[in-house]
Amino acid sequence: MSQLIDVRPGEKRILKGFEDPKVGLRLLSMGIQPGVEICIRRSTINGQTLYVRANGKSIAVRKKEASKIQVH
Amino acid sequence: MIQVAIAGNPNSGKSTLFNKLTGLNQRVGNFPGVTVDRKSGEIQHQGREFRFVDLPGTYSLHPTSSDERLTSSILLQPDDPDFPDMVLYVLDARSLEQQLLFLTQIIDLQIPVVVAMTMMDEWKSEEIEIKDEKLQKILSCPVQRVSGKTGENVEALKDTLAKCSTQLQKPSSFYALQQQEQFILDQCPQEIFHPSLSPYGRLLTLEHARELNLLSEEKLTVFESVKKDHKFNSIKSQVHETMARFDRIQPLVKKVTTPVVNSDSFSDKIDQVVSHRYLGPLIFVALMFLIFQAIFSWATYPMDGIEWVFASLSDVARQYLPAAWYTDLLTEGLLAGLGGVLVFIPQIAILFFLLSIMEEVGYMSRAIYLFDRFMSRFGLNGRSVVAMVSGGACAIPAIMSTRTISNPKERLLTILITPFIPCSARIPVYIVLVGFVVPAETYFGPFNAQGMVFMGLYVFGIAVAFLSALLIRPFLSGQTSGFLMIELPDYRSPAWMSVWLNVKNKVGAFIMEAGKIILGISLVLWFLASYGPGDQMEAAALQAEKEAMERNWDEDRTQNYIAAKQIESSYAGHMGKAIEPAIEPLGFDWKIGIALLTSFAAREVFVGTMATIYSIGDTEDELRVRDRMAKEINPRTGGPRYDRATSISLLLFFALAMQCMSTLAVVKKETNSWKWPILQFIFMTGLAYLVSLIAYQLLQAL
Repeated sequence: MSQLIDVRPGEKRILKGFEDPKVGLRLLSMGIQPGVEICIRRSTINGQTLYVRANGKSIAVRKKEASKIQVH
Repeated sequence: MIQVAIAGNPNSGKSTLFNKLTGLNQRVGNFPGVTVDRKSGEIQHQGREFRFVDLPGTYSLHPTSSDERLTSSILLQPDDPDFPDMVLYVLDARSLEQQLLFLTQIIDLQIPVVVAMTMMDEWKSEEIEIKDEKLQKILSCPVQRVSGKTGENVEALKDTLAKCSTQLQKPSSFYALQQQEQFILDQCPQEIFHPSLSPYGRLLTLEHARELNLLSEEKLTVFESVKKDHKFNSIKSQVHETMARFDRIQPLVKKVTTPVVNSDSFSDKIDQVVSHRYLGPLIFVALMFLIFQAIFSWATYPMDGIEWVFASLSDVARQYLPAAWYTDLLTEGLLAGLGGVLVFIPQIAILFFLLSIMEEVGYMSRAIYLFDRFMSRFGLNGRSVVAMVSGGACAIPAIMSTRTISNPKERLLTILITPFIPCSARIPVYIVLVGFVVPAETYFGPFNAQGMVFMGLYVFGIAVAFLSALLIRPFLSGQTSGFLMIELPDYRSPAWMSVWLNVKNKVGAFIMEAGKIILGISLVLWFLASYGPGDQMEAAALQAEKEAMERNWDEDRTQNYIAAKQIESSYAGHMGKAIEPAIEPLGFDWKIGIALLTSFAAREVFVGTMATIYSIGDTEDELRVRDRMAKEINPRTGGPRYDRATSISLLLFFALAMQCMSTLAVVKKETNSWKWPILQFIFMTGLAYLVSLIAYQLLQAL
């Protein structure tokens, strides 16, 4: 099992679940559910904020938040 | 009157549709207790009256941010003045699955719903076909396709609303409560809940009563003990509910749409440049520079125009009205004060024109993405960057722009530190004083020393702003945003109607709310500078005239000398002398004291006051004022009054002190209380005093 932060930018994975239910609830309500394709597109200079594409939409996610997102 | 709440996800085209529906009949205020924009508008259609309220956009009734909390709390309290008779749900056809979540939650609150499906233009291009009749049947509520941008079908939507309002029908429920959820609700004393709340509404109350402030402490205790007794995990239940909804929504969406190939979108391509890790911040800085330029230089033409109009008006008034106190009140008090309010309009209008466009096209969320980390270190928000850059021109539009920061703590902190950013009104003061610190011809290598001091003052202001953020942050209550997780919406062309309405609303709010305070204070300042105790002013004028006659001065010189003597004996003059002991340790005399008082109207007034005090007439020419000030002798030391120590001390004072009543008025308006402008005034001016004191005493000792 790996976390989203460990995935290389550009590599497409499948969202598995959330370690923090609050992070999960927020992403779920944005329509990003387990089973969708998820991919880091890019990050900011310091690497602390990630530009993520999932289920056809783009979201900005902090590194800390991404560490709670599990992927296959 | 039928109350209609407009609800929907962020970026669903909700506000655009609201603008189309209400047009100019809209009012912007605050939701009670919070400064989140409450936009409402009334219309009549088919003989029925509707009041629309635009609720903050949210993804779900389980709130994660403060404006989402507002939406939930209104929809969960049937006694709330904004509680709707029906909801107009704005559904973005491009992401049906996600947008249906919130809709089904509203349906389960058993509030009548009409669905407006937007973004059909974009949708056509992506070749999804939505069978709206089918959707209508499944959801058991009317669905109307509409375009907020072109106005297509807006009339038909009004018809639908009118039709539905004659027979308000509660929708049938969508999500069946789990056994455990039903059980736990049964354990609560039923009189706690509002009788018209649906079972799902009751469940939400149970889950969110504390964070939404829905119930009294007593009732909350009852809730908490029930939850504890039955080991009810609120978050788990929310996740379960959301998943269960999607499980039902997904097959529905398959039924009503033909799927699209998921390709990298056009927006993502733009973001390869615009959100690039190195290019992105550069582009942002360039855009901010453009905004800065716009407020800083383009606005000067209309500003000069406004000043000219008011100067002419008061000339005309002085010409045709008798020389009496009421003429002075009109020309120097009222007209000058009014001009002082209106002169800010070009800057406000230009800033919000540009910011609205950036917001409308979807660029602002990219700015948040790029600067989130940097700003959150200081307890600020990615959007604070915008306020701080605009603050370089003027703190007033900058502070007004913080409304888009949804976290109250980050917003307040941004408001409190923005006035430290050197604004354009400080420039004339800096120009006058810099010359006393370093002579014009001094160079460090290729750099002009005065230019370097100037730049140093800018860097100093910005640094103090960030340091104060660190200093103030621990004293503010409330949470900083726990999450970023924001959507980066697809780029789209702006809806010009929304841009225009935003500019109009901002300018209107400034004139009506901050304008009153600014006008009031300028009248007080005018009174203080024009009147003195007893007949002291008249006596001073006579005395000055006599002295001038004896010295055989010409008309101009005599008038200027009289003006100088008059301001000395005015209330402001007396106050300047009264505070002299307090400001003497900073190297200031009572003349500077008067200028400090009058520059409270606006910092640049310092120059004009100095001109009056040193009787060189009412001049805007900074260099002439400086020449005269350079000749001033300090009676105590025998050296020049504006030696390096005093000048540096004064520069620091102007860099730090809160000397702008217009800013305070706007802070009062934006924070909805006098507490913050007063604390801000004390903090900034106190800091200025302390820093100037230390600087002057150190420089003296050297």
